[in-house]
Amino acid sequence: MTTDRPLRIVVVGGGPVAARLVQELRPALESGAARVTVLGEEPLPAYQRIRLGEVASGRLDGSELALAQSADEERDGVEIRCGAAVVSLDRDRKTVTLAGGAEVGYDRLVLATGASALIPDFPVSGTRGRGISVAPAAGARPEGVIGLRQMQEACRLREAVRSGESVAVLGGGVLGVEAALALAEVGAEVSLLHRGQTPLGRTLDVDAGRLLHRQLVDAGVQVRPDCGIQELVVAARAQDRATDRDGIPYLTALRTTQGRRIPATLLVACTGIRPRDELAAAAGLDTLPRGGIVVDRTGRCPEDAAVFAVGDCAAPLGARPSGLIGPGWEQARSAALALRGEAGHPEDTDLDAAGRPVPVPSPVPPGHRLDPIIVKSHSLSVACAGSPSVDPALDPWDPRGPHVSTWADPAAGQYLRIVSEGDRLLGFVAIGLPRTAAELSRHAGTGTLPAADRSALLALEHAAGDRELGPEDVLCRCSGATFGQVEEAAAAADTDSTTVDEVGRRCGAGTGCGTCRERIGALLAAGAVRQRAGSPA
Amino acid sequence: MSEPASETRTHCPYCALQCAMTLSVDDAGPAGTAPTVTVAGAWFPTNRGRLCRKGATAARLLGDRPDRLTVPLIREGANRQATALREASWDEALDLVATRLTALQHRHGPDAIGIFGSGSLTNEKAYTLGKFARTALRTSRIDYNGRFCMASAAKAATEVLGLDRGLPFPLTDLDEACTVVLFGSNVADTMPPFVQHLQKARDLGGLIVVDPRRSTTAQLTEGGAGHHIAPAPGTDLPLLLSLAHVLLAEGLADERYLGRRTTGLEDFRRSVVDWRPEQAQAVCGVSALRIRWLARHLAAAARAAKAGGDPVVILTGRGVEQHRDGTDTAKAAISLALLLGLPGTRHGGYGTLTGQGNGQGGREMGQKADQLPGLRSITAPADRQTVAGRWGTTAEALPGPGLPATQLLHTLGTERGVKALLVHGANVVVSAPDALQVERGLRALDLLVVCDFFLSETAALADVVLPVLQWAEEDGTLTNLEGRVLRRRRAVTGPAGARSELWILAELARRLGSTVPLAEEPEEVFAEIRRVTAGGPADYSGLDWDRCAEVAAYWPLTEPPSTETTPETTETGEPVLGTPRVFTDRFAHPDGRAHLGTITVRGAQPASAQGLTLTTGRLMEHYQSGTQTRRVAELLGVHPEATVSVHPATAAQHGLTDGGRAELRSATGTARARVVLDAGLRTDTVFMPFHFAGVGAANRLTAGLLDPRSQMPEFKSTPVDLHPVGAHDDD
Repeated sequence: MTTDRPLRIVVVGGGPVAARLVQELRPALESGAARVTVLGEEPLPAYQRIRLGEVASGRLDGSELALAQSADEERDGVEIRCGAAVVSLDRDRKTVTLAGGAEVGYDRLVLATGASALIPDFPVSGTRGRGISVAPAAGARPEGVIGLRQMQEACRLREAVRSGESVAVLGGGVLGVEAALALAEVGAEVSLLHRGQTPLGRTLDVDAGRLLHRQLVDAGVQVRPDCGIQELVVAARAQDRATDRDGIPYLTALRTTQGRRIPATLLVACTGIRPRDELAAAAGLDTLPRGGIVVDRTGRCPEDAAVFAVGDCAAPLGARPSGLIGPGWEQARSAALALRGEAGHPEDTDLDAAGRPVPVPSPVPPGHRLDPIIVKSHSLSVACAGSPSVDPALDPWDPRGPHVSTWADPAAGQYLRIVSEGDRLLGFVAIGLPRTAAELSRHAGTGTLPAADRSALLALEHAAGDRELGPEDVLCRCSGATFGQVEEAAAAADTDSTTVDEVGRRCGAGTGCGTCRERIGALLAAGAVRQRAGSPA
Repeated sequence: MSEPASETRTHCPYCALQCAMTLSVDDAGPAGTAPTVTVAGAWFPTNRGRLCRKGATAARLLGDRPDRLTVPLIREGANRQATALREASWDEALDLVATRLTALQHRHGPDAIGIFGSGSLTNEKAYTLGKFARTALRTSRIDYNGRFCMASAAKAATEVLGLDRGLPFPLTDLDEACTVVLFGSNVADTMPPFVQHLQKARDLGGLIVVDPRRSTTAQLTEGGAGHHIAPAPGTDLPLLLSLAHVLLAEGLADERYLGRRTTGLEDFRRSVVDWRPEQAQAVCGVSALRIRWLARHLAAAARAAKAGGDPVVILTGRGVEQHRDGTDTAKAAISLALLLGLPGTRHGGYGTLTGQGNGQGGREMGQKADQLPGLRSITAPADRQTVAGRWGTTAEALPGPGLPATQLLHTLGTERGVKALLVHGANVVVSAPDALQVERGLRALDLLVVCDFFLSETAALADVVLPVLQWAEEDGTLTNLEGRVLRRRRAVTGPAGARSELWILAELARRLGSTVPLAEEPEEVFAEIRRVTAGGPADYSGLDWDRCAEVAAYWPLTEPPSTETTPETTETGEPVLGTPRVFTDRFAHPDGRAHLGTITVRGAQPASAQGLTLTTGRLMEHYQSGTQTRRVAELLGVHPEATVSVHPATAAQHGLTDGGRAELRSATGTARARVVLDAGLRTDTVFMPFHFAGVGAANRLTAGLLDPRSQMPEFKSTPVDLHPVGAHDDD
């Protein structure tokens, strides 16, 4: 840019990826090379969406997730507007229009609209007031069916927990498992309905899934495998009572595909998300059939160099959004760097002490990196990444084929499975092995796993033990006195009351850091020293 | 002729713990031979009579050693490889140095001369070195090896707390602590007598050591004495931010304290919000459960401390500081302590463990590129005015900030580099990062002058080597890791041909025609330090040379020591002088508050092909570049050569065997070392001590990439590959 006017950047969406983008833009904002306006749809300023589960379970108050605007950002003129829903985008005039009709102009637009919960339209049956049946209206969602992506939904869930309502969670993905677990951990009555034989079926192998199933049951979750919803059973209050809620059907139970009736006044659908790409699609930008704004490596739309998309609404190089925060942050960084370049404030080249540029790391090859899934829970340790499955027809002992390493300790509730090929890590599952899981999630970042790490990883779970000392071994590291010298020093005294200090005066042992003094004391007390010194060599 | 043995009370020549010792000098030997000196630990609150193996054998450095430098050496001709050093008189050597310096400055300007100082120099020498540079040479190019050790912690403490005093409380406060967290510090090897102060915490199971290695200190947590947490090298910052995240997320932070004593909480909260334990886990390899546990554990301990329980202390060392994000990491550690509501209370606090003998004083006396005496800033007009006035010169005549140590060394031989370098108390071809580049740079200099008492690897490259006095041969003061100013006392007379650096600098200044005289006697210099530091953050004005010999006061001390009884005494019964605890009422910023703020994690650095990271550190038996300790048979015998510690599984994968030789390759260079298998290491980490020279020098591998905030180089995280070295291609 050659103009002296700062680059006007408008961000649509006020979630965590938008917040990260603003952070990454900081140097350009500080220097005045760019200005940024964030248009957030929700009525409250940015909050930590990822921790909504803790609000839902009542561990936290919603206000505790709030992110006050930092003083640094205020100083740099970052404008954050809440309750500013953008309804349309005019790429020719470079403006967005807000719900109230106001227009906001931009030089560069970043869409960070995220995704919305994808809640199926369930068939509904039920009664109203005095036995009149409710018409099963398609698309009319009864009260009590929610997703778990917004503060208000979390608050509704917390109410249900407090008043002891029965809650059903639909969906065996990580969100569903975490939600069910969080509720069970605070003593709520909760069922988890999921497809397939085991929860997290797409990322866990069958053995791991069975262990998780068992652990969920132990945690108090009523798990219903292979189970969908046949229909929602609703009721509605009679209209003659004339309250706000009268006439609106509300959930009382579910009928499962297995024909079972489960009482529930709240259904939390964790059945997937859909990227919110409507603005982009309506403005003629390329979007995927199942959602996602197609962008290049820097997050820029190929058809319009002034528009970027990052986070859950974006489909980098046409790949479906992952829904995970890690990739979202990286997209925010790439887009911010591109924007900084355009604002005339590119990333500083890192120089070494002699003033030469520092080599930058070569990026992890696409497809190698795995995004680890770590189930957030106060009671379970479950982590996985990539695909834990291999073609069962393959010879597991073929040195050229994919390698599967497994280890299990049913009594301890531990299970480990690592799938790799050569140096590449293709997937892993670790249950009940937090330290191993932590290491494997690190490796997932690069998608590599050195061969050495197989059994060494397991050994990490336990500390190394002590070894018996021989006479040549150094007992006191500070003085260098050996076990044998300490023996001699102790034996040289004729009294029965040799002290550790006396031993120290003779051979120096125990006069430094002092950690061996206890050991010397024990030797003296046991009388072992005396005996050994007296016996022939 | 022979006299009865005399006893001198002084402190150890090595680390910042500055253990007290008694030197017994026995002159009973034949005439003309040096007296026999024996060392015994003496009582002082930090060491309580104990010494480590280095201190206990320190007297081996004294006496008639064939390798002791006793006469100035001069190299004839420019070719360092082809010519040998020859003996010269002091006049010849000093005249030569002065003439060459003058000529170089005449040709290239004042900044053509650089000075490299040290945290091992006494306060008097460090002060005089800075004054010599700024007044006699009028060069800005002065920095010191403390840039490699303490720069990040110093910067962090200054930014957050407003003042850089390593331990802002007496070391003996640790004795009461039920919980001590050591982030990247291996005290059991680097300053063993320190470990006594961890006894209570260990008895209560409260010693927590964060280190990628199962170091000797980490092993102190075994048997129920505490916990060892082993993050991957270079990931301490995310770990610390995640701990802070849990405190804030779970409402465990001390909101009342934060409200009263800090600012900037919201900016800090922003910085940690993304670092959920699950996120941190995938970066540092410490499980989310463990991170939550530690945060809650610390919060509970801090709460108990405030309800009348035992204190909780967080300490950092080089392990977390010697990184490109070292300043931010130290800031995060301080911030963690602030969230717990500890600093400036009797319930615990934060401190950094200074490494070098005078690492604390060395960073206060004005030998840093950006600093004037008393921790004053060389860029602040008021500070320049004050110091210039007290030096009898003008602020305009003082040079501005110079090049920090690594830049100073890595630009040698380039356009931006100095043409001549004076090195005092440092062995940079072993201790500086990218040692091969440093060596090439030194060889490219027009003039290299090294002051040392042994012919170190750096001195061996010099054009002029000036023999100086060492520890037991000189008087002076040093400031220990808790900010106590100690007297070093002369016990023996140095070799006839060796001189004090104070005399050398005064002589050079005179020959250079400086109008600002330099004092030659330590006592005179100390008196000047008192005058010049008066009113500065590190204020020595109230100290007294003779009184220092009796009572080691904590700076700052402004009033002359009172003769009345003081309420507090140390455990050895001395009255407490000065300021043992610096932040009890207020922090040192003008608003009296600690300043929290934004901390950003920078991107990961490239991995090596084998995915291995080298971390460097120290051994119990050696000190720094080994110039002293490699000359003590008892120490060299235990650890005679460079080693590389490798996890057995990693060794097996790369064809290495225990006791075999390995070649390490980094983007910067190669080094060779003997393999030591260590199952206590992470499989992705290898460890080399940095005390050895030649092909075994660990710093041939380190690149010296800088922390942009402190200009401290990265030492603890270098991507390397490992290869076995066969017997035939061994050198």
